[in-house]
Amino acid sequence: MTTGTILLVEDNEDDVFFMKRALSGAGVVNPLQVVEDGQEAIDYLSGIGKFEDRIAHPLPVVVFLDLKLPVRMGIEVLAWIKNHPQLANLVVVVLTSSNEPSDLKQAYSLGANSYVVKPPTAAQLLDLAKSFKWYWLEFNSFETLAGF
Amino acid sequence: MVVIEDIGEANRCIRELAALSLLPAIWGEGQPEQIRDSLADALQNSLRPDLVYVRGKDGKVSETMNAAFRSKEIRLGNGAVENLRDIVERNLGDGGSDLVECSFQGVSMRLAVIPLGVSHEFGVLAVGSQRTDFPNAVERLLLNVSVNQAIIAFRSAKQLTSLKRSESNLRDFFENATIGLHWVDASGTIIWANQTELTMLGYSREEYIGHSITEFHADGCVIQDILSRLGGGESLHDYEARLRCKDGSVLLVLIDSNVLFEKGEFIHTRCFTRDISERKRAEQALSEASEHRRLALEAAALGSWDYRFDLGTIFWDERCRNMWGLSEGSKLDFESVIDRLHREDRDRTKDAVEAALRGVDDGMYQVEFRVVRPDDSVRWVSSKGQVYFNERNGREPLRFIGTTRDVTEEKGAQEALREAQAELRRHAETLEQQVTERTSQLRETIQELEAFSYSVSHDMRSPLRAMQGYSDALLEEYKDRIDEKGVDYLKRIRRSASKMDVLIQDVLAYSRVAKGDIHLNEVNVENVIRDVIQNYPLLQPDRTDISVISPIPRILGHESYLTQIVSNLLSNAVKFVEPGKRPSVIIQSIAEGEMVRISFEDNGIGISLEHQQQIFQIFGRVYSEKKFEGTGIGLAIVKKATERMGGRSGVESQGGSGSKFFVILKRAH
Repeated sequence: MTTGTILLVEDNEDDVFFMKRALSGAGVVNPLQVVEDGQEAIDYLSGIGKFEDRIAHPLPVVVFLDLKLPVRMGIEVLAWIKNHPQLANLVVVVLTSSNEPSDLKQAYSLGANSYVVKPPTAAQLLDLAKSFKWYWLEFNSFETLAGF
Repeated sequence: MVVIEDIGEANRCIRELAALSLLPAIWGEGQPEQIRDSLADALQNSLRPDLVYVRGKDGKVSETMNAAFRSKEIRLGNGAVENLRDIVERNLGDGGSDLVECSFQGVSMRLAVIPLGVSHEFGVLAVGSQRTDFPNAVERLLLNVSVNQAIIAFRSAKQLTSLKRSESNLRDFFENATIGLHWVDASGTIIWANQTELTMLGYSREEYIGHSITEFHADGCVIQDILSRLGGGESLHDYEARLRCKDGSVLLVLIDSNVLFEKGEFIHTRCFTRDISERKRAEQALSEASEHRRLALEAAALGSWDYRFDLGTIFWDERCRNMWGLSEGSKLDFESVIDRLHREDRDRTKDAVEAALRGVDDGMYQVEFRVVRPDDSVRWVSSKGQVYFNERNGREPLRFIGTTRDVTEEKGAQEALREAQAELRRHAETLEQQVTERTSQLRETIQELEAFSYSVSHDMRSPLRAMQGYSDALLEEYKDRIDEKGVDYLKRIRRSASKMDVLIQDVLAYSRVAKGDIHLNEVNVENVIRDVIQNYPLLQPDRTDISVISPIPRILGHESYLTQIVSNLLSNAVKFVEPGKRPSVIIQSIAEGEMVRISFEDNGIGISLEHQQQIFQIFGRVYSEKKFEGTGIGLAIVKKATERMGGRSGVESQGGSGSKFFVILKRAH
């Protein structure tokens, strides 16, 4: 079971609230870091600017990535991660309100590890959080990414 | 030179000459050289001199010796000849010396040197002998007479020859003249005819000459008339008559004739006969050709005109005049013709005429113009012509001939056609522009719609999720602090939000089906049905009886579209059932040619006939939402999806006794 950081890239504060509520409801105790746009996500992962301190802002084991983001779109962030020499193997779960086939296709083509459409109800979101914890945090093995 | 003084002596001399066979030589016809040479031969044979020297006027010298002279072994070498010539030339002075004493290489010789012709124009003759008495009296006479006679004879022979030649030329001229000639005597007998006349009629000389002229005339009265007129001293000119040829044909001739009278006596006629059959035929052919031309002009409704610059005449036929509205006798010249053209066409036409007259395009002329007639009506006329030039005289135009045709009707039709085409083109352009504009508008609309639906799927669903999420949070975390009524309100908020979300998803599903690009692949229908049943709780066997009658053939389609179709049809089938009744659906297929019909037969409430069209429309609902939940989009998706896969959909139902929905799709091979 990993205790690594989870990075949530989400601009909608309601969705941040529901996600935090669902994760805690599911008993996820891993540290959760939240950034609100695509550029911040890249800055966080690069460890620059206000995210320079790697102790306060450690590299995550999983990124929850919304697609519709201000400044830089989620798809751009995904492409950036998957093209990055050190971060390419970082697990990225796309969490989006879009079930457009084109978005789905593009995300997987760029190397997303999972694609989840945001469930409409709190109960369904809780189920998702539980499944996530059970699969990704308890069973899945992560490659330890070197800091840089 | 010896002069003959006595006629009697001369006559004797001639007799001598005759006896000596000299006359044939003297009287013979021939060239001066031949006469001279034959004279030399004759003298040699008659006088038997030792030497004869002859020099022609051409300077040629020949000398002969008789055998007797040669036998005395006196040889004359080149030097001797030169000497002889010198001797002869020396002694030729004025009038000449008739006798020269001379010696050749020791041999004495007497030479009679005789100039031939006053100025030796025929040459020199010298006759030599060793005899001291040479020439004796007779020989002297002979020499003189023969030579002078020879010259006279030669001259007369020459005259005779010339006379004979001119007579022969004249005869040849008459014989071979291109015109037939004959003489007829007072009795009407042909006494002479030339070869041309004989050839013309095909008779031999014997068949014609000596016969009566009347035998050869086709019309008896005509020859009688001719003869009586001629007898009366009349001259005939271009008198037309018909002659009978040997081959039986009749020749049309023109006769010119008069009579040679001598002292009032009818000697013979002098009749010239010209064959005019050819001319007649040519005239007839010309007249026929002209008739053909007239007919052609008539048939083509062509007017014709003809300017003869060489004759200074202008000819316009009636049709041509009609086109201009000109009366029969009105004055015609180039300027007045041009003046009657439409103002805009005058310069152009004038230029074309002038170009043709200059020889541009070999004098071919073609132009179309409008003629304004005296009554102000306007006719379009097409004019074509050709200028003929006198090529020897710096291309001076001789004749300008051509036709005109009234093309007003054609022009009108052409104009109408052109206008119609222009109109059509304008329409086409407008249409094309409209299509371009509308396509562009449509494309914009589609782009806006796509942006809209993307926005709908993300942004509009997000607040719905918040409504649902916070309602859930309230219900979970604050349940003990909200009364029953409050809970009900919260549940209504949740339900509304949920319904709205379903609606949005259905609209998105419909628009995806409606607009997406699809590629048709082979799809296993039974697998799709099984997957759909497994994924929907309402379709599980504990709640519903669904029987699939195998086998259902594979179709050529799109799997996600077919999934949409099957899930919508099955969820409808189990939804629209009387409360408390267990839903039952039978899925079966039947091949229809290249297609397959897949039907979904339920035991639901059915659809009355008047609603069967309506339900396939988007938002087409038959029952209130309170009775049966739904967005009214499901069947619209079914309809659109089957159409996108090249098939169609429908329903069979009587109402009240279940429905049988079907889709007809392409069968995979």
